[in-house]
Amino acid sequence: MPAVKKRRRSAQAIDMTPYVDVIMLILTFFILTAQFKAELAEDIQVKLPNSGNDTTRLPERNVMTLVINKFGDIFADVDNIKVREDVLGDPIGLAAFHPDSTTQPGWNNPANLNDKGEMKRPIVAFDDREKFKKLLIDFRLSSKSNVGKDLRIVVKGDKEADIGAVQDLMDILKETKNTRFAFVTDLEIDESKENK
Amino acid sequence: MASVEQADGGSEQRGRKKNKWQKRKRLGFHIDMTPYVDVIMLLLTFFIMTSTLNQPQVMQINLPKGDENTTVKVDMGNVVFIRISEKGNIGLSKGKSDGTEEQPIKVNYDQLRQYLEGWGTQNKDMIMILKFHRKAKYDTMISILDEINRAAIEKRYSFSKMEEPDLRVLEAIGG
Repeated sequence: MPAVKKRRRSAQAIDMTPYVDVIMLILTFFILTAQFKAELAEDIQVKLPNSGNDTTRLPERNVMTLVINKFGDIFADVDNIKVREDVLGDPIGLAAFHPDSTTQPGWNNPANLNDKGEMKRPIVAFDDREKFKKLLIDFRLSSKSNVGKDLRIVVKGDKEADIGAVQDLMDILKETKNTRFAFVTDLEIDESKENK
Repeated sequence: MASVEQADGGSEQRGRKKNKWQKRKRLGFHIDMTPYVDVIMLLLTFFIMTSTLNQPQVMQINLPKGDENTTVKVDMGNVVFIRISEKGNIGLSKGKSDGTEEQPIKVNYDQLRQYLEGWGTQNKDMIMILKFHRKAKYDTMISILDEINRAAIEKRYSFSKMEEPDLRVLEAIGG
């Protein structure tokens, strides 16, 4: 019996130092690699199409994002607040244009744009094609004078969007001399698409 | 005398100090790390949860520069038409040097790549002309561009508007 008592009393304190060291390393890794989603990504929801070949990553800064949702609306946005204030007159404004006059713009109903059904950012609607073209040019000029760098253009289209809207956007880009741009896609993991 | 005493006293003081210091060092103390670890684990969980692992990638597109009015003359023998119908069906047909084109064939994504690879290796000057129906889905467009990118051929393609004759060609393969 005394032997048992003795064992009980010698409760061991585990040295936590190596454990904490490792956890701190992991924590540092996650803090450094963390990238917080841009405001826009939350406001307009799109399902990206998959592609398997390209390995180019999405550029992080000085990006003009052109979002096409499934209603065929085009949203133009830049990541720089100054540029937005300069061109749109609102630091969190979001420019929108609906190229197809035969259909109704989807942004009339905020429930179309995201799950929450409300927009954090006010929409600056453009109803004229020429004005929208001018906006794209203004974005680039303002970026050049404010940031000193040219904007890179990415097109983020919804899977379900009509190609017509994409074609209209490509025409606009071509007319505004923006001949280099990129389509944003998700990396395709399985090959199931091949057997469609 | 006095100086000696002083010296002695000094050494005694130093000695005492040393002893005190040694004693303190020997004391040792334990910090309870548990709350610290708790907070760190919370932070860690937060960053793991919020980090986005699948970062989207981009597909680079270069449109030709130049006016709408500039027309480029190409030999029809080098042209391959890829037409996509409203339903997402792909009609593939090869142009002939006399200005007409061969009978279109209906292909799936895999076959499209194989045909393009076959023709592209035979004819290094092959040009692909993509004609999409306006109501076709953007997903189809990306898939087709992806197949072209994947094929081991020169990526020379252009987008063109779909017109009446194209619709008739597509009807031949079932719309």
